[in-house]
Amino acid sequence: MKGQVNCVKLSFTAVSLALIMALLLGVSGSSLAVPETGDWGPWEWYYRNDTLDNFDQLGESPMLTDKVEAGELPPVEDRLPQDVLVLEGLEGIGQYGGTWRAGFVSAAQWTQPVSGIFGPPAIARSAPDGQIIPNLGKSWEMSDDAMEYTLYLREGVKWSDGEPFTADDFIFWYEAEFGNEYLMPSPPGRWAPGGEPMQMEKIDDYTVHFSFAAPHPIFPNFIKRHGHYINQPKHFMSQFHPDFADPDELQAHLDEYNLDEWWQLYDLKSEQIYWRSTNQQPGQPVLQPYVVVERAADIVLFERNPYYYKVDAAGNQLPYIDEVRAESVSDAELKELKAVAGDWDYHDGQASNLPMYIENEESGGFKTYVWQDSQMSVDSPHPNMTHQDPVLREIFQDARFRQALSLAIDRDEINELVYFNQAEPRQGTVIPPSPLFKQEYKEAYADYDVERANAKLDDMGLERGPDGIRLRPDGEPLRFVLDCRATFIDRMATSELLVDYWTELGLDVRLEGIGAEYQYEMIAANEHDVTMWGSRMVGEQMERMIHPFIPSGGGGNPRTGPLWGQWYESGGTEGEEPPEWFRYLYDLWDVVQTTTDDEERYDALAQIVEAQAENIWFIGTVGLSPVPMVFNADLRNITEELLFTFERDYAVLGNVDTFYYDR
Amino acid sequence: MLAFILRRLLYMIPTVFIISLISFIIIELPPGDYMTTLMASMAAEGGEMGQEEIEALRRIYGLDKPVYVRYFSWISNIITRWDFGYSFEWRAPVWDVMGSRLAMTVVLATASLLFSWLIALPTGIYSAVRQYSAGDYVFTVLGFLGLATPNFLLALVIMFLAHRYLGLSVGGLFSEQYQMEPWSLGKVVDLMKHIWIPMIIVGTASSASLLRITRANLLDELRKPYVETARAKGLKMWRVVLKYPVRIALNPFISSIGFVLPQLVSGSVIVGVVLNLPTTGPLLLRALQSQDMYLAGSFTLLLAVMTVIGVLISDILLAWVDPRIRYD
Repeated sequence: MKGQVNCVKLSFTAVSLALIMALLLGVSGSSLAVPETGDWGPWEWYYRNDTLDNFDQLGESPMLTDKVEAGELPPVEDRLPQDVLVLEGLEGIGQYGGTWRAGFVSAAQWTQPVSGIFGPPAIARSAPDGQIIPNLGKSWEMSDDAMEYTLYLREGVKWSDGEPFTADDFIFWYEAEFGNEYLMPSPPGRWAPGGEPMQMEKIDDYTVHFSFAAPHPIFPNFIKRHGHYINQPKHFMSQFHPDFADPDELQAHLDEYNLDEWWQLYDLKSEQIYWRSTNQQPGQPVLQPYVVVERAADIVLFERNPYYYKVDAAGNQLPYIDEVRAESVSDAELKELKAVAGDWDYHDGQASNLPMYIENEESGGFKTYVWQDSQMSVDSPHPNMTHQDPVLREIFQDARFRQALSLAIDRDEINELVYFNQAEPRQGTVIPPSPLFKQEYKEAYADYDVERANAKLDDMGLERGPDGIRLRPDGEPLRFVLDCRATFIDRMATSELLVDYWTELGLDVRLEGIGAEYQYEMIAANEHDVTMWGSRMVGEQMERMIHPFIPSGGGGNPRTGPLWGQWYESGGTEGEEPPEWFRYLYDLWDVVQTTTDDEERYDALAQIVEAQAENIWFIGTVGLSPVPMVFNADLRNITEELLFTFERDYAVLGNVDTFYYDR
Repeated sequence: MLAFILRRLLYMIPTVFIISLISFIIIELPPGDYMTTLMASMAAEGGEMGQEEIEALRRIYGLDKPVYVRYFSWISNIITRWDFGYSFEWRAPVWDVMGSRLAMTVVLATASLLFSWLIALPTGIYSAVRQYSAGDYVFTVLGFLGLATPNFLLALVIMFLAHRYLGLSVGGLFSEQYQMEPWSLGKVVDLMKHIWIPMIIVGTASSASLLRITRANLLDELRKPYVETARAKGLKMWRVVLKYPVRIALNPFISSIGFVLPQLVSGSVIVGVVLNLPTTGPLLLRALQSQDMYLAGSFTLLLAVMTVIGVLISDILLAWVDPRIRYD
């Protein structure tokens, strides 16, 4: 059977590739040395750096050939860089043509339709096993003491308007935005390790050098996730910045847009401005595979970028698909309806609608792929350990209480009723491809054992009152509110089941469906009791993995203890210092972020993961749930099985640049 | 008459001003601002933003200034240079986002209005003249059904039926090929093909009430002695009815013009969301939910202006049509 043979062959190749990479990267000291790679499914993803001269012939889309002949564009060999990135499609060389139709619901998503699907112009990206591989950058070096980082760019890469992409574009960002009082008044920790802003200098046209005041071993990860924010097209953006532009011209621009302040216009004109997602407008030079051509009230039309720097194994310039049409719809349900009608070529679906997709495959002309979500636990209750009510706080802080809550959950039932038995009952811990995964972590307190749960609560001294509800130490009935985002239908269903399970334990639980903004504000204000959230793990083991375990303010996972998170994020000025039995985790996390010793880092991470398994800061229900992906039936080079990791630095759909229509 | 109109126009200015103030304040009332919306959606997607970054963004957007400063700069920008501010969510000037949708809203509202009149007037007259006949009952029942069924439910049902049994691509006011094209005869025809669903859904609710009102008014009139006299003198029934009683019955139609626009706009918000119409409804809803201040404020302001103008027009028309009205 073809699939199986490929699997076996692939595992061997993947493992050997990964081991070699691990060795190389281990030597350079820039990444976690993984002891073994996990199996991420028949993921045949393949890239290599190559030079243009090695190709006998090059190909391009007929759409561009016409323009070359008309004299509007230089020939393909002049448009591609010397250092190309070669991608191979799963099913081989593709065909040019077609329009990719996608729908979006929220405006935030819609302002970045291409990035959302094809990924931002990342400098580097994640391999599924956590290694960092090149994308726009060619290679990099990290010094042993983790205080110097050198980035090598691809020679000959050009922006979508034909201007070269060089180290000057990084230096421009550094001078124009970094530390600018309006655009970035205080650089965030990732660009300022040890509290000092990083230094950037140009070595030559294609080499950028960074130096730090303190060891910054996870800098490569930040480059991967945020590297596209630290460069701007100098030739285009300098006209909007007072330090670089002619004052009269700048004023003319401001008048044209009726704006008062230059930074508002700079922000409007920049495609990648710090902290926010991309903002694609016509006329901006970009490094994406597609360029905005037209923007109307609900539709954005994109055309291929003639200067895109990736080719396939035969020398054909990627992407294969010529155009993208992104449409905004007012409602998520309408998006589902149109997906089922076959109006989209790509749709990320809801697990509960899986039968509907499969039913309509014929009439809609699409195919449903069921990928796996990288959720450690797709719907997880997070008890608030820094609760304002001191009695509840003590109860939530008691590990036995959380363990009891966990033991009372019938995970098989949730799996069956909500996820069609497609998910995996598990505790909240890392997922198998991570080298830190252990079977016992997954099973920790994940049995359905109501007796044991009741016993734990009895141990804690929570006696049942006359009506069967357990009483708190102060005599009040033990009641709390479970919050859940109302629009997440599956999560609401799970929450209702949780309420039932916990009522059996003698707890008075009330479910509240709330809006996203309200939930966010409540958590930030430390007002929630137990809140439902997901816990997605992204493709790398560092940085993001930790956040679901340790509360931190800002973007981490504040849900298990917002005040502790604020304490950590603010350096001790805000929030509350956690007790010693929890504080040591933050110390471990500090070690992870600063040590250059791989073993030490790995050890610290392992300790944190183990602490979660024993203490269950957040409770896992089921994870690795199915994510139905609807693709047009004519599309090829799509991965059959994929771990959907939600990372924005790597095209979440696999090698999207190699997708093509077989028509 | 002229003095009356001028006076009303003068009253409009403080009215609109007060409405803009109130709407601006109401939008500010929920705790947080657009930044919290942004934070929430980023958090849901696994993003992160530190406290200083949030503050810097607030400053860029001018959200750190006090309410009255923001209000005055917003209003003065509108008056002096027709600049409605910047929409945070859509990352574009408000007028760009709003302009085309306003036009579509007016088109849809007018079409629905005409449709409801077209249904209500003849059937109302018929119901009054042939009171208690089978036709009267049928029209009344249908009218009440349309009134009782929530608009969005009707929209969903029709959408589903259209998709399932007619294979039509549902939602929106234009087909794919015409959406980005400039206006042409083909585009108008395409609009006609799509507009009948929202037109019917939005129009049926108001047509029911207009039908009953027409019927009631007309019945009152038809009992009056002058009608009997006219019939006795030999005039045909339909001539009698149309000549004078209907003119009286038209009174509520005309007075309703003023309120029809805000009624249709607010009534069609949900329908607009369900049917994905490029009208103001879905946009306004989303703007209010995310506290996209200038967009929501500008919308409310413009709708208020249109209402006030509409009421003025309907008052003028009424005064002109109905000689019983004295204006002072």
